[in-house]
Amino acid sequence: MKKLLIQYIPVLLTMVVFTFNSSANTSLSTSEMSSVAGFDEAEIYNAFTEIDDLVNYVSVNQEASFAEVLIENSSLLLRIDDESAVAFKNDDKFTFTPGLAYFSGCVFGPLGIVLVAIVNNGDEKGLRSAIWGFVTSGCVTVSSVVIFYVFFFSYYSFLYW
Amino acid sequence: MFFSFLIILSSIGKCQNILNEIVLIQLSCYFYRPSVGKTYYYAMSKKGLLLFLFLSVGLFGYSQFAYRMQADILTKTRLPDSTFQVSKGKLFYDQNNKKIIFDFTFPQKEKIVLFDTIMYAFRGDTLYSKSLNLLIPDQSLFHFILKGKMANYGLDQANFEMKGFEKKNDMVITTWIPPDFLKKMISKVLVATKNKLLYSVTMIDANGKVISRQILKNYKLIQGIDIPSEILIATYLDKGNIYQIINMDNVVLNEPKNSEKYDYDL
Repeated sequence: MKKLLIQYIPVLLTMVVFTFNSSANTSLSTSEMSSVAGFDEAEIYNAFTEIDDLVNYVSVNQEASFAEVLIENSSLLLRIDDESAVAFKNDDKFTFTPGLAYFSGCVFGPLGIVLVAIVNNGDEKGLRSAIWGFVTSGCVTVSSVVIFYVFFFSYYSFLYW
Repeated sequence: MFFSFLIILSSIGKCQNILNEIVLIQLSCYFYRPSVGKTYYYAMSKKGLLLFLFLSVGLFGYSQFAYRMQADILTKTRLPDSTFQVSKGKLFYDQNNKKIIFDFTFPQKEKIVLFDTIMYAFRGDTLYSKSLNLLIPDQSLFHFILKGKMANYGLDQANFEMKGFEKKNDMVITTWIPPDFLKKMISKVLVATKNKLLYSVTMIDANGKVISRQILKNYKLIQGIDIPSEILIATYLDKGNIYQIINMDNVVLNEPKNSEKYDYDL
């Protein structure tokens, strides 16, 4: 009996360990699982294809600085920020939110659209809001002029009548 | 006992390298005694061998940790407004100084010092700018590399609780639950390992949406420590995504010289 117990104790202990291990599993949802196991790294790599030439240039020319590249091949620096380590910083650059872009288009018209385009670096969403702002202000201006003239003429025609 | 005591001391003390050297000197004294005869040497050899084996296990264990590192670094960042930022230079980190120092040559010669929650930018020797810093040195990847705590990414120290694990293909995914004060922002962190090496860290917000992921790849074995040479980072914000790729080359651990490069007076 004692021998039998000694033989089976390790088996029992192993089973206990497996039971505890399986209970430690928290099943991940399908989306969570695919977000980890199914993530395609190409999403990140493809974001940088536009600057491959600059990266190659900088890798070959060990001491190249932004100013030197600007003189030698400025086309490499389109949409390149001249600041270091921006990603570690916590201060956001100012950009027009859609509401602010709309307001800018409303108040400043074409100038506001250009301003949004420059500050937001051609961001489509902001640009569209600014254009809608400009269109709205245009409509309001035109309709108020029309209303004014309609009122004006109807008033004078009333006087002559 | 004296040697093992020294090893224990060396693994916890600040002057690790000095103590480690003492251990090695003591060991060499033990095995090379020109003054004693051959009989004594052979009588002691068996005992000595056992002791040597015991100590070498301790030393190998110790060799998994380092206290400073330097590397050539190239970072590429794509910001939400689709502008890019490229930085190239050298990275210096000493875990005792707790300052991450970037000595950049591109876009311009500039030293960026990350200390605590502040980022200092120096051009020449003049402080050019000061801003809030997102990469806290002793909670950074570089710190975990040196401490040999890559596998759980220091989450245990940050009071995260390991909830379970699942296996999928060649990955083991461990779920970590954040402490209560973080639960509004992060519901869980999924840490995936491949071949026992940390592969990815994915943060999920309270709505079940991925807010950040880091992928560590192309590991190189340097002085007994597996160090990733490429790190991919994606941060998903409401205003757009931030992508970043960090490449590290020519990693040097425990450089005994150039101590001034690992510290910067602020």
